[in-house]
Amino acid sequence: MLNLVPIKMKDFVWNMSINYSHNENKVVSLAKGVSNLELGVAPFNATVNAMVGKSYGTIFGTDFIKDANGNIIVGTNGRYLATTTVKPIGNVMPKYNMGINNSFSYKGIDFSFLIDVQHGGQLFSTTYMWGMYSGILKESAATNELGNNIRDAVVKNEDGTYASTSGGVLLEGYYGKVNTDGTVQYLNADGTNSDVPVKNTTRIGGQRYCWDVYGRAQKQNIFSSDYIKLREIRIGYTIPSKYTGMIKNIRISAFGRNLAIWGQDLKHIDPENTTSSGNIQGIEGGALPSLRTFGLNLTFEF
Amino acid sequence: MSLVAFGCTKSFEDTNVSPNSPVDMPTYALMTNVQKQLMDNMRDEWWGGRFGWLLDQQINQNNYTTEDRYLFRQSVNDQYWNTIYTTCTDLQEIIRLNTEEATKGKMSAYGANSNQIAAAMVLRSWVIQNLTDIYGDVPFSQAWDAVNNPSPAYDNQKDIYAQLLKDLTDASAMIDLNKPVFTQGDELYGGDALKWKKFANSLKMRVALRLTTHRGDVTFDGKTPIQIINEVIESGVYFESNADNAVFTYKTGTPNQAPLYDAYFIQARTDFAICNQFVVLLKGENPPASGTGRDNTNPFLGLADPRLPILAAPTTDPEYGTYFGMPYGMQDAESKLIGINKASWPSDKLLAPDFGCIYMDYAEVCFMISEAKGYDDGWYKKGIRASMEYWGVDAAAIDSYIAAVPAANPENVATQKYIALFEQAHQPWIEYRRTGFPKTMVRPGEVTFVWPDGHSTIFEADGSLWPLTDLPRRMTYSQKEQTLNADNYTAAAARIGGDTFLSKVWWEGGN
Repeated sequence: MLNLVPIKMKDFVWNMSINYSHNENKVVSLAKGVSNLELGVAPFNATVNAMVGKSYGTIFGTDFIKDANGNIIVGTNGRYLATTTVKPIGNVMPKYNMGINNSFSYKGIDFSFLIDVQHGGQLFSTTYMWGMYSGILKESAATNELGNNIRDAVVKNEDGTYASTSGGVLLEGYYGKVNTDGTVQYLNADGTNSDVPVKNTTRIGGQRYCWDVYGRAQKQNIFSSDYIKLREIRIGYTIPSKYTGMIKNIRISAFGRNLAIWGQDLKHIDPENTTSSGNIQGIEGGALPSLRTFGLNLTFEF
Repeated sequence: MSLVAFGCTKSFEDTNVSPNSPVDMPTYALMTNVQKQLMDNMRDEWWGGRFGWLLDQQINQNNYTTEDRYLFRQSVNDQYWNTIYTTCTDLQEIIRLNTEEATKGKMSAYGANSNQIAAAMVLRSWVIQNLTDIYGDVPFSQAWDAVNNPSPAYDNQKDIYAQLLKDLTDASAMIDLNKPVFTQGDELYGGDALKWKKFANSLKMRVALRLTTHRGDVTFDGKTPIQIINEVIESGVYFESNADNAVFTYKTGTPNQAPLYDAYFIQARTDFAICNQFVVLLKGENPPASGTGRDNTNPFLGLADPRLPILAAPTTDPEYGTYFGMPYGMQDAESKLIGINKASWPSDKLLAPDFGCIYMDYAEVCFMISEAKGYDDGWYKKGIRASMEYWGVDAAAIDSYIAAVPAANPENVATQKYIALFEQAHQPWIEYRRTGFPKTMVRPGEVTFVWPDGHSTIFEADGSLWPLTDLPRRMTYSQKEQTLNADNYTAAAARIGGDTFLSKVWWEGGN
């Protein structure tokens, strides 16, 4: 915590207070014979865990299939694949939380604003998953690289190439499949084995792409929970006592809380509006939207 | 202001003991709970409607067809896995309370100790066979001591089946026919010892029959599966009529209504219809041609099954027919084009609050005996008759159907058994995996429906992570096992050839 007074003059003071916290942790051990404790279970497709050897709050879900170099593998139908087993796909713990409070006073007027910052954690967004599946979010009607809406029909020319009016999505990745031993086998577009990676050229329909947000790798629903929030603004005026007689220290102030947010990974949600109950963090979905509040205060002494 | 404090030391440790909570559960109450929990969770809208009945292609969804196309909800899978083991914990408790010196005397007031243990072993065998038939290798022998072993190893299915056969043999032998099994709380048989013995033996037949197709040479205590079945037949103690059926009957009053009634009328869902593949079979019609060249014709072509109007309700809007089922495996948008009014719902009988969910019935025993005797025609027809009588078909209709039905052979016996297993979620699919019948089941990639304007809908199993040309051979393990029992899960998954829909279980010829 850092307190500064950048400016101090006869009638004008500027106070600044900065709070910064950082956490590094590792789950060392649990009960005998237990290597994982499920802290919370999302209604769909993800869990938050305390797993021995990992940082507290690891999110588990299915991940993309990737080759040895980390490139995403898609099926010959152009769709994402998913791992058979759940993998660590994120962690709820932020790298740091920071608050910066600036307060100013000039004669009887005081003014302060508080900025909250969080950086480095992740959350699982049920809103994004179902919002895409049901075609409600605007990303489900995005414009593709051909300049068309992804919901438009995928159209092939007579020679088999895609028409410039094609809708649909072309995912970045190489064709491939997973062998029973877990290794990745590159494929050609026709499904035959390939020794080298072959770039995906198969478009999938917009609706199929959106359904696969639910039906394929759940890593798609992991977003950073970073934010910068204008947490509070206060402005007040203390009436000089020479005007108030017996009643002293009359102060009128107005405040607003949760006024603005910047820097979210997923713009539709407030990353602080996740399921947070005791040990459970990081599962977003089904929450009422966060509120701005405004108020007035009047204080006096006598 | 003052502070006053008191202290007390008299009978301090009793303060936290609630006089209202029983310390030793009466075993009959545990039994009632198990009998109800199993049916509540297996024949409901989740494990039944969004899982088992879909794989059976007997009841399917008309609003959200994602699970029909094999994208099952992990939460439903997890919940089922959990329920199986927690109900078995109750069964283990019944066995413990009837075995330990401290409690067995008290529990014998509710029925002979050995009879209670036998009944618990029979139900445990029923449950575990279900579990291993669906998933393959599962924890069993190490699964009952959560305190000392929270991470149980998975048993090979071969060993599980060996244990099931042994348990059922032991259970049948230890039943004292002169004493009640439970003096109260036994909703299946009201404590009737002979019926429990018949149930134990009939279930043993089901266990052994599963092995005859691909593992018929494996011996258990020196006997092959077919020998085990013949032994039961010779004993004469097995289900002999519908009066011996193991059925859990619900009640009309809240909160004991049947799970489907709960789904339709209390949860007010209209999500399920009778599957068109099943309706077509009962109408004596052919399903649409597969489109892949596979012969999927109806072995009972031209023969209308009188069970159809008993199991299916007439459509509200008969545009596609008075009885018309929802075609299987369409996309959401297409199933909505048909919609809930044009497809047959389950009948009023199936949706009654006091419906009886079936653990096992006489018709299945008849078909098992027919198969064991080389597809005996007499037993096959007994099975058809038993099923029709159970569902309430009148005698004249039964007689004329049986006179016209084609004679017993592997396909006909298996297909009639498939119809008779209706309502018993998962059993028809499990038998399909074993026998390959009925061939009227629609497979991924085949035509599932031809619309009036002539265009077809293909059943795409687009929810499956693995390419399917036939129905899944098993269900994937609960995802919780991957994090909570990771080492054992990984070992088991490797042993069965991968935790996928493609790995065959041991009795189907897999690892």
